[in-house]
Amino acid sequence: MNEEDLISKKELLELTGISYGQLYRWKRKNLIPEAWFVRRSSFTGQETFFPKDKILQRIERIKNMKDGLSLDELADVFSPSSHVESLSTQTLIKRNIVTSFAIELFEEEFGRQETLSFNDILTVYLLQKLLQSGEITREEGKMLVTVMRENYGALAAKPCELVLIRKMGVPLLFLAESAEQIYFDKDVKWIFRLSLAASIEELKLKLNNTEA
Amino acid sequence: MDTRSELQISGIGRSQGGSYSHVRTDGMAKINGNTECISLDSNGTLTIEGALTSETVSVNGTATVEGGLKTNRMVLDGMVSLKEHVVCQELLTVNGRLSVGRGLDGERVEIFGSLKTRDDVQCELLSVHGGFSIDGLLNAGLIDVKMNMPCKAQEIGGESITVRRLKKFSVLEQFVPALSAKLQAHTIEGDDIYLEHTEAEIVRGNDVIIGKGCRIGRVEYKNQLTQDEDSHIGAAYQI
Repeated sequence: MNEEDLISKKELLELTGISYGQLYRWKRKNLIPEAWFVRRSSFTGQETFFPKDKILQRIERIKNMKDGLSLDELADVFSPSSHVESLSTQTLIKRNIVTSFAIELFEEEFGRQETLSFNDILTVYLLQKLLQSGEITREEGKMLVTVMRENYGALAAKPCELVLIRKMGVPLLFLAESAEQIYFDKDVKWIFRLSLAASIEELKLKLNNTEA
Repeated sequence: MDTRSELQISGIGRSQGGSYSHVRTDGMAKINGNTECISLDSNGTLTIEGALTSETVSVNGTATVEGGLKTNRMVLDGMVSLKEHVVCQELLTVNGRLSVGRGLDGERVEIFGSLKTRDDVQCELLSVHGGFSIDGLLNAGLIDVKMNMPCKAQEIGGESITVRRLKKFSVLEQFVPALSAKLQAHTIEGDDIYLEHTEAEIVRGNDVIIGKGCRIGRVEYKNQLTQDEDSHIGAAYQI
């Protein structure tokens, strides 16, 4: 990480207008991950720094959402695991979280499902999102479902990315747990690179909103 | 239906860990293995060679838990040593001495006596009557400390921080300065801060009151700074 990407605690508070109390409270509630508190020495001794883009974005989101949701609900939105264990496919369609088309595709691979676990809901949600944006084909959608089903369990609650590349028309889909930078030869075309954490946040907001 | 059995040890006894409904020990007890129960009640000496998960924990006397501890309510009277991370979701009351080998996560923490941890302490409310030594960050919404023993933390952060010294002045501390009741911290950050007899390098807050006996290297405040005559501030900046 470069020096420029870090922001000191003092600058952060000035920039965002929050107080020390709020910052510490959000830290206690796990709204801000421990890993973002970076200790560096400075002229006053040890100081705390944060990754600038991530923390500013997170604080903006907390400020926007904290009026509607309690801090505990917010923490749940930001955490990669979920308390929603499962929902029936009908409720999901009725609540407009996923379309019946995406569920049908999912069921083509795994047979009929009455209820879906959170991981499966996430899979269907991703599937629908990518199909709608036209980034993947039906066949690749099936790959997605299989990859998620087989591997996401082991990665659950860890930040990871979903990546699709194509070379000479051959698609290759993978889940990367920590891939800051990957390089391929020039024939390889990046189709998309999706942070699962962001999708999980979106999905959870949808789940929570429709519950209320 | 809960089919777990009770565990009761009176006198000198030893038992396996496992899943129990209620655990009650009187005398010298040793449990070897991870233990899970609804309530744990101990009088005398208790050693658990493993982790403990129990809704309520009550200890009279001494106790040692080698593994992690997770509970809702815990009352400790006496000397307790917990070697790993401690989570207490509702209320932790200590009358005596508690030492934690790692960090402590709590909601309400009330200490009458002393608290010692090797890592961060996080809770909503911390009230200390006595002293503490926290080898890390103390992060609590409301911190209320009445010192009559030396207090130490690397960093303190929270919304409201109040540190006072109890009136009683012992003869001993006039001769041995290391034993005097004062707070030592590197950084103290909060919204409302009131400090007495505190040595810190940096204090940052909205409304800061530096009471008697403080030595602060640098104060950064937003709204207001009040300083007692009997205190020393290296430099003060309004931000």
